[in-house]
Amino acid sequence: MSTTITLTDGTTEEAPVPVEKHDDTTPLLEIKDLKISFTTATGTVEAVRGVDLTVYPGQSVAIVGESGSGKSTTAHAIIDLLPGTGKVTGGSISFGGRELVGLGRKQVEDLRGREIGLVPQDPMSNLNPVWRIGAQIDEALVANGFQGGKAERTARVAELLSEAGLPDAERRARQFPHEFSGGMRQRALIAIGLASRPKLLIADEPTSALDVTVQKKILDHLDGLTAELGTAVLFITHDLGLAAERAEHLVVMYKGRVVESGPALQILKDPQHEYTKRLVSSAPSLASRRIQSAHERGQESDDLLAEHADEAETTAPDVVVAKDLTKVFTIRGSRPGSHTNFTAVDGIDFTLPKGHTLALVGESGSGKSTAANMVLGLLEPTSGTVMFDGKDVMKMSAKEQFALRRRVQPVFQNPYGSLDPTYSIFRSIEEPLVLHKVGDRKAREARVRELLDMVSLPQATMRRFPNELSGGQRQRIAIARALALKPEVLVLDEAVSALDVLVQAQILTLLNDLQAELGLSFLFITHDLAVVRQIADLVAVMKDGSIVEHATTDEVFDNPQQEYTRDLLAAIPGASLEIGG
Amino acid sequence: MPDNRYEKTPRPGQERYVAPPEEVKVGVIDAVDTSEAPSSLWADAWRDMRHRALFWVSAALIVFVVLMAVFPGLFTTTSPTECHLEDSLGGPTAGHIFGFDKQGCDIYARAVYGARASVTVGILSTVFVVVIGTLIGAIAGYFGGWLDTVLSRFTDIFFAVPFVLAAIVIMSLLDDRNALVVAVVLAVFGWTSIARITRGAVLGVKNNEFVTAAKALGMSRGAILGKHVLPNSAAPIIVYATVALGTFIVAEATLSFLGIGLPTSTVSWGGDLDKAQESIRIAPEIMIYPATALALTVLSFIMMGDVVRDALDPKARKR
Amino acid sequence: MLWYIGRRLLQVIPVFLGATLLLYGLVFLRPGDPVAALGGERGLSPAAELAIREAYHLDQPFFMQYLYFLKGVFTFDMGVTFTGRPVVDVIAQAFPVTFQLALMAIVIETVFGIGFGLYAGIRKGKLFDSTVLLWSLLLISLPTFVIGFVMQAVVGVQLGWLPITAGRDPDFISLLMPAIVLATTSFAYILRLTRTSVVENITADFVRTARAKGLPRGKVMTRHVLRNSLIPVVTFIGIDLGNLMAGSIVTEGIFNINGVGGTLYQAIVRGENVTVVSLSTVLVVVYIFANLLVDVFYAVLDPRIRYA
Repeated sequence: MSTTITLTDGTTEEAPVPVEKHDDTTPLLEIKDLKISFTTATGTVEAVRGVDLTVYPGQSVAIVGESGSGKSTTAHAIIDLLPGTGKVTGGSISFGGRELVGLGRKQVEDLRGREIGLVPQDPMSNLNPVWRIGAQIDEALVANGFQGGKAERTARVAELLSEAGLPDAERRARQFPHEFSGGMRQRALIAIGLASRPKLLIADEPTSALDVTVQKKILDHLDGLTAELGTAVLFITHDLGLAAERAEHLVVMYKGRVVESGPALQILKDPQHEYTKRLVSSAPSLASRRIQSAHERGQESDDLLAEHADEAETTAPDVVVAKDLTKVFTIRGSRPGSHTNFTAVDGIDFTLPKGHTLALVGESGSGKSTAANMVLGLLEPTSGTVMFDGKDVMKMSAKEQFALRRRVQPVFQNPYGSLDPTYSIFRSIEEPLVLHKVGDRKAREARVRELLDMVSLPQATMRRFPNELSGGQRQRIAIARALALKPEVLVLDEAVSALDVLVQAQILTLLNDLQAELGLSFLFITHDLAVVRQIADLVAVMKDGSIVEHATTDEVFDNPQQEYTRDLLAAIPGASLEIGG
Repeated sequence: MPDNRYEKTPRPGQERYVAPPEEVKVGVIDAVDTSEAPSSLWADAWRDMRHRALFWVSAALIVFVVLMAVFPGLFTTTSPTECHLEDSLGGPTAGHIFGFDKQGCDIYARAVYGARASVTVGILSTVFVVVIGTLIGAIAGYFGGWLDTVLSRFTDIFFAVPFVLAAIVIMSLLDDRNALVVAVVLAVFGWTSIARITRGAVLGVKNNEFVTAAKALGMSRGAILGKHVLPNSAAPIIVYATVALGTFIVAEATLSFLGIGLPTSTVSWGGDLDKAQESIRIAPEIMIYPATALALTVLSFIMMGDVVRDALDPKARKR
Repeated sequence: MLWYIGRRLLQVIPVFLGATLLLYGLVFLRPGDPVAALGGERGLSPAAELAIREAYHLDQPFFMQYLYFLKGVFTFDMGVTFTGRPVVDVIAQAFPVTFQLALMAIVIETVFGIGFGLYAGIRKGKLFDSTVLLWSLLLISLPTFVIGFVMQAVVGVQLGWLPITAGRDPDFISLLMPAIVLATTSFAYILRLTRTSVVENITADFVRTARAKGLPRGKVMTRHVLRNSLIPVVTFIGIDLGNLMAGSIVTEGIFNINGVGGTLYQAIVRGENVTVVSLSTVLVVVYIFANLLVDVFYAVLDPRIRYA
């Protein structure tokens, strides 16, 4: 069995004896036929439509679903934290035999923190910026009846912070949230969630905003800590791989309902419901895992694997070549006159062969987006060159550079920021054609229709505005706009990172199809190694501005040379799962 | 620690469950919702406003006041400057529904004709501050660097002089006063807020990915500013401008009340209030009419600003 | 923190110089000859005119005059009023009462503005909220002098609760009505601002986290919602000091208070330009430094500023 729950130290024997005796046969949390509605201007919207869920003491259970599936709403209803007009309209939530629906405010306040803790999703917005970290833990202790004076509380705060894996806890407690990194904030939030030793911890996508390696460290730590304390954990996640790795029982939600539930690995190996099946086959973490295990068995698996993966080292000419590319930013310090140089990209070399996909992989701050912007000509390199079809981009005349714009186009990450909200879809896609004076109005409209077909959107979409479309649809429009001028190279900067799993898989398929059809070359920037497996032929792993490993996708996955690459691979959720082919 | 996730039989409540396929239909992933008619941001805002009573109330008031300012003859045939001292402080009579002020002028006619001064000054100063403020704010925010530093410090200097105070100083020194002069004086020290708002909005918009995409298309900086950045920064400017119009009218009234705004020969609410003050102890009701007219006008613009802000609030937008 | 204050102090210098130069320049460039105007109809004798020109450095170039003016500001020598009293004396005598009035107004507008704003924000969309919002719009629409007259007529004359004018050496009670009048517009703005930020903060993630910790509702509201909502309000109070000053001219004029504003009011009405300019300059200087104080307070409230 390759799946193990890692304890940070020792085993459960060392765990403090729980105050109450564990009774493993009575459920700790039992949700029955839960219904939740929101009142909007246009009427009532049922967000949760009859959910059943059981958690036993000390157990970890995960709710899996895409955004809007009702998973967070369900979790928030447990401690009466539904946002806005949300209301429980039916069913029951029983915790330790006590009914929670309809509980008075005072009783709920007693329950929160003391009995049920919460680790929220986004570490950046969940700590109050004006209070010191220590004060924010301290108030949780006070509110939940911690016995002891100020000095004891201060000591306890430091203890909790170091327990959550934060070194130098005493000093850290005196700092403000903006002095903490994302990972550190998340650890502080875990300390808050566990401060009063709740019996149940609700972990709402606790790490989705963090880098993968940090994510893994924190989840491992949380696993160990809750096992040690005997805390039951309810995970809320969109990542099936992560859920299966961290929880024994899975509840899959879709459109406010439970579509499938049961033992984690059983669901993973043998999904029954149509939706779960799709999820299992699309989740990048699982897909990449599946390809991996097929590889280990010596088979070439799956249609998920891009069909050209093997001929990466063919004789295709290099369309983009970066040589010794360097970018240094000057950062002005807080004190007058002081400034530091920050080398975002430090002398990197890479090549993108025509018709292929090169993935630049790295965590936040690795310099991958800076490199992409230099290829796009949006940033001028401090030194080094970007060659396009053998010509140095920086040495081109203004006219040549303008012409080059037609051949290299970007697609960005944020589906909400990549389209001008005041432009109709038609105007957005038409804009590049107008700017580069392509065709007359009629020809341009025909081209827009053609492009919409290409990205599989109905032509009627062109009369709409970005705010009427979903994230995935906006991303399709952004791709259509990028393709308008028939470019040869697309720079995809985290282009699928913000999308739900199924939509993500769909866009990746679209990109693969477009590449085969139009002979496009992709420079694919991502933090997510799992996705890389599904799209890239070549991988360049970046760390602190340098490329630490540059090889074909198979080589990187099968035989990583660098410690850092191995860490990244191990951090893919579900990496340790044994799921077979 | 052994992994017991395979061996153990599920506990009660955690047995394997699969929803019947007909219960939740798995639809086409990410289908385009074609049920509603296409609508732009502005159309959305309009739809939102249309359903608010406050919008219609303030719109009606604004139309009413503007009509009064342009065609005062539509509302009264009495001249506001034809006064007979024998009517001084006379009560309402037929044809003079609000009665007469101390100089024996028809109060109703003066209230009607006073609209022009207020509306002219309000609109002119608002146009001036929007032009100056947007220009300076947009250039500072969009081009950044030393240009931003210089323009922002420049703005700070003007900001450091409270605009009504500045207007009082300048107006008290000027002998030749008319609506244009008042509007210019108010605008000279009143543009800083709009410049700051515009700069902030532009800074927020300019890092959006659609701006980067336009850059990657080879669009010039000026074109990006005009075609993408400014249209997306317009909402807070419009909201502020509507409210500012109201405050400029108040400022003009205050200046006229102090006797350093519009000349006494011009009919204005502020001037009438100044005159009414003299007889406040014997006839306080004279003050009510210009005060109400003034308050309703200002209120209608400020209310409109409020409604527009709600409608354009990005947080209230769908999705 | 010290770095922050130091930086702010450095920023004040160009703003101070720029603003005073601006005001001085506008006065200097105005049409007409101030000295010739002094003599009125009869005109001054050439000797007297020359003496005045020398005394006021009017024979020097503009920039030198400005420097003399600055020197005057720093040595508390700002010339004399029409009646021959030194401006400094007028200010020294008028300042305490204006300070008291302004302080009362600030206390009234912040306490009630924040209080009503907080409650309206918590009860967003309820009757109290919409009523208060509409009333605040109405108060914003009313010029200070109209509010003053209405208060005089209703509270002073009809009800007889408070004295109508303050007069010389006013006490707390006689300053109460002017202070309320002075505070009204800002009260409405602070109310609306507080309400907006309360509504925003109440749905903030960190407030949900605070609730999830098990904090009682009162603590969530004070420590997290209100505390964070105060940050924009404090910024506003700084900016609003300018309105307060303009308002004090009108208010002190109406209520016949011998403060800086009242003196200024009299000077405006009587057309005493020199007094108007010098008193206004003093107000601008006070405004600039009061804003500096507010900024420091702002940094105390928001650690992100302090350490930036």
